[in-house]
Amino acid sequence: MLDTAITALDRVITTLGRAVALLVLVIIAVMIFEMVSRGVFGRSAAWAGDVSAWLLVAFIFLGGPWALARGKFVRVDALHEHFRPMTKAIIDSTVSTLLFAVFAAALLKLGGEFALKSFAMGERSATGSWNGPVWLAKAMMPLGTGFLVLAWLLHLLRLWRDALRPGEAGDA
Amino acid sequence: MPDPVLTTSLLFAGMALFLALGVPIAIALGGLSIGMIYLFWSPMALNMVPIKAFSTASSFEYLAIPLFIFMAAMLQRARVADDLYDTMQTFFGGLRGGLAVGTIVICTLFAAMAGISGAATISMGMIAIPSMLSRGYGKDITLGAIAAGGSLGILIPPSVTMIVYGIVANTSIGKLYAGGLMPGLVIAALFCAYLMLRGWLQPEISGGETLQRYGWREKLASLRGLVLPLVLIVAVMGSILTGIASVSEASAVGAAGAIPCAVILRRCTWAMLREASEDTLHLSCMIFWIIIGATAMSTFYTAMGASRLIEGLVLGLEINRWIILIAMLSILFVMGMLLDTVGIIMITVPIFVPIVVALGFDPVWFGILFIIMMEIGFLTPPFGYNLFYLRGVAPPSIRMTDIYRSVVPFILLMLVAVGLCMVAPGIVMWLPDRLF
Repeated sequence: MLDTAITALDRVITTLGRAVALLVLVIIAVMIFEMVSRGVFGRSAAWAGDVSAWLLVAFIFLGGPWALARGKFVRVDALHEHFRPMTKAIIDSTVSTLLFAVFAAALLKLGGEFALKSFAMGERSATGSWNGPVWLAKAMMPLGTGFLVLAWLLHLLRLWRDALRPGEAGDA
Repeated sequence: MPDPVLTTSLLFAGMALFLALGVPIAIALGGLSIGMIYLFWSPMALNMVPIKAFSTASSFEYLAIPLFIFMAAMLQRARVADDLYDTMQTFFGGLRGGLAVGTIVICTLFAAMAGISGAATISMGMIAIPSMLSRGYGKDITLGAIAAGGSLGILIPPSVTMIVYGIVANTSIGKLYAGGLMPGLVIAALFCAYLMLRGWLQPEISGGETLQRYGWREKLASLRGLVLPLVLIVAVMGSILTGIASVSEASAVGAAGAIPCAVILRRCTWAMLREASEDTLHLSCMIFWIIIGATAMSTFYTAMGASRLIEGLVLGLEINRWIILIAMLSILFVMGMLLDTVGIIMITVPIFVPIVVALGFDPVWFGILFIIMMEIGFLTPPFGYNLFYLRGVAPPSIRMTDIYRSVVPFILLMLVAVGLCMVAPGIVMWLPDRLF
């Protein structure tokens, strides 16, 4: 049961993360296209600045869950690395989860309202005249935070698996 | 609004407690600050949080961070360091302690291509550790040279750390880049001088008594390995320092340029592009989420007047400004042992920089001292990235304590460099004054 949940969550987060990682190649392509278009052909691509910045938003918010699940959210580990798996699981299920919940709730609720407001008033990009829909980029914030909650859940499940079955994890 | 002294102390106490317990930095900073804004200020003020988070993630300046990381990840995977190492071996192989000096030279070149310290440390760790140990170099010289050389990555432009610093401190990134170049070269020279001295005093752990020399023909042929790196360095650093391109544009050129480099070296595969992108995602997310968590904190700092409060307190002491400066650098030294660089910048810069400016110091100059302290932080246990990176690529015979011991002399040399920059600010300011 625990293992099934871990595998399923891991699959969702990893698939999303691996796809989002490739956006960096798109960002490079868009920026180079803009520089060539401006430098060589003398016409600037107004949409390029917005698109590359918005891709960065997607990169960070949709990629964050995978980074979290892979333990890339660094900690001060002077004490932490000496804790037993059970202690680690308890700390992350209480103190860390409380702080995470506050952080995620603010980004989900307020970020959601922020994106909805932009959608409701049909906010369009102010740079250039390409009229890109700003809400699309802003929606990445609550969407990514939603996945971040799943990633945190995955992280906790893994911690408890290691704490309850110390034999399998292999580290002390 | 409640007493700012109380809330400020509460914020710092909470931060210290949660960080010490091992709560991930981004979550500790974000959760704590949002909770405190909600409790002590107003729920309405929280609307600032998504606005700031969005403007951070969509800022044109910050775009350079993933791009420089991608560039470094590609160069590492294209094994650019392999060819550089061959070049250095033919030139420095005949010198006692030469491979250690060559390692520093390669790390310096790498630092001028990559904006992070990991790429050079990991690349050189993989090539240089086995080769130097088998050629009669001692553990401490081998490991120390690689870890210390790798940390130059954040001081010599381009530098991801300076982008974060520049934006948070509201200081020109271009000037910081120009300011970091000379101190970076000074530190590299100090390292080389030290390694040659060790080679002269202790030949038995600096390549042994027999040295392998190479003829001029071999030396010239090996220069091939330098061509691609030099082209990239000129393209990226040249375009920033001459002002042709913005930092973000230059980072796009570097990131795009790293791909043909890998193709020319016949090491570019789809799997490699994918891995480099995934590495970029992980490292960028780590940095950006700390920044996002910390923007809530800086909102709270400003609202509570925490920075003004501490500034008033410090200036009210009326002690010599150099003592205050040294105290700040000492705080950075201690934090560098425990905390990640971006976390340190987000926590201290909004407080330190106004004080430094009020004391009449130059913000660019202070920025460089700050970055050197962060470089030292990469080497100081228990939390030092370069120590982890080295542990990751070193053979099993190397113990963590070997790595800890090896970096001590290099840390002392960097502190000497900090002292030099304080006595002679011209080392830092000469180039930015010339260029901007």
